[in-house]
Amino acid sequence: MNCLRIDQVYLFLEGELSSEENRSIKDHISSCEKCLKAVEERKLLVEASQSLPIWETPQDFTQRVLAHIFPKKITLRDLIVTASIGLSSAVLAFFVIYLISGHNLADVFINLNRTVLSLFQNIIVVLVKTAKLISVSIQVILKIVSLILKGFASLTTILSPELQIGLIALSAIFTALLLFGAKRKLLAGEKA
Amino acid sequence: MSKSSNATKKPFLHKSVFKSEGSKFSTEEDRELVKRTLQGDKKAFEMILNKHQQPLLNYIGRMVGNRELALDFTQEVFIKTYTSLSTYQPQFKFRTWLFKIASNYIIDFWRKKKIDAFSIDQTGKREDDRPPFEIPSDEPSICAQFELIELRGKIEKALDKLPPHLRELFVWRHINEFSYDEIAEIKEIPVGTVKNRVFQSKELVRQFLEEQK
Repeated sequence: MNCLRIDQVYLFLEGELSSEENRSIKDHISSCEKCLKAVEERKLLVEASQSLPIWETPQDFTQRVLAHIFPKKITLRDLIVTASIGLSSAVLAFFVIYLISGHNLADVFINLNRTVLSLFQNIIVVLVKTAKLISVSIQVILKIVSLILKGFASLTTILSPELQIGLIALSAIFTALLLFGAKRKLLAGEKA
Repeated sequence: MSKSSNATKKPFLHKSVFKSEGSKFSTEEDRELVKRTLQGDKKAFEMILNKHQQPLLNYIGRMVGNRELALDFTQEVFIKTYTSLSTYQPQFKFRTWLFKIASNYIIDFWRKKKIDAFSIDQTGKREDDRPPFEIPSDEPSICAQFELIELRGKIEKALDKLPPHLRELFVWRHINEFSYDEIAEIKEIPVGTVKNRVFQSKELVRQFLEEQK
């Protein structure tokens, strides 16, 4: 038998050949070091490939897919059950309150109503006052800003451009003098 | 060389590549579950889900390389499978039909992303269908240089480098343990072409292992 081809090696390893072909390959590799080496090499490759780590699905995967395929519909029965549970819980709660405080159901209702109402009223008053304060502050600030802008605008219409430049330059110099303490020095000079 | 009957098969590997035992039962079981699902039995589809989710995730995971994306895709494939269950033809294996849906889903996704889709020509010959090559006389032993765990890690890295159309076949053959006939059925190409491509994918993996040394 001639030396093996790659495809023969794989077919042999995977048991895809007839028993006769298998036998002749086994006979050949027992006497051909090159082919034996090639078979051993690919055997390792195939064995390792077959035992690669498995990607596990999350435990809730099936339920997740089923929820997409069969979305749960809320039936009348579900609604009745939910309402019954809610009502029973409320009755139980009132009964427990009655047992602990000794108040009857009407008292509990009146107290609860008063508490909720007073809390609601207080919050509403605070919220309204805060909102009013914010809106008045905004209006005042806006008026001041608009007055300043109007003042500047009327000044520019009265004064010629040269004068405006001169005024801006003087303001800048004055500001600079203020910043670097020139005013103090000037005052000191006047005293002297 | 021709393929012999099942009775004469005796794999050289200790662990059989195939899941031939019980596969007939499994196929029949799948058909029965599909039938029951179509009759409105939700539990039957739940059983299909439980049975096929892990193999499907292992295939999709290796193709997209990201666990979260793979889980989303697996879920979408099952939803698509359920909605088109009435078009399933019982003469085909359910799992080959399922994996065909998954393969097309991945190809569509890659096309939308404008990534080179890996569709294999249905009839035409490709460059990579060249005949199997000879064993070189000075071939180095690469796999023997690694411990099994290390070798698995190297193979996983090499898989990422494989062209997607070959990676797909490698995964189906060695991770999903499909037979060549099943792969041919999924891709609708001749069995001989499938074999050549699977051998080629393995040789490429070996080549990448050599580069990783």
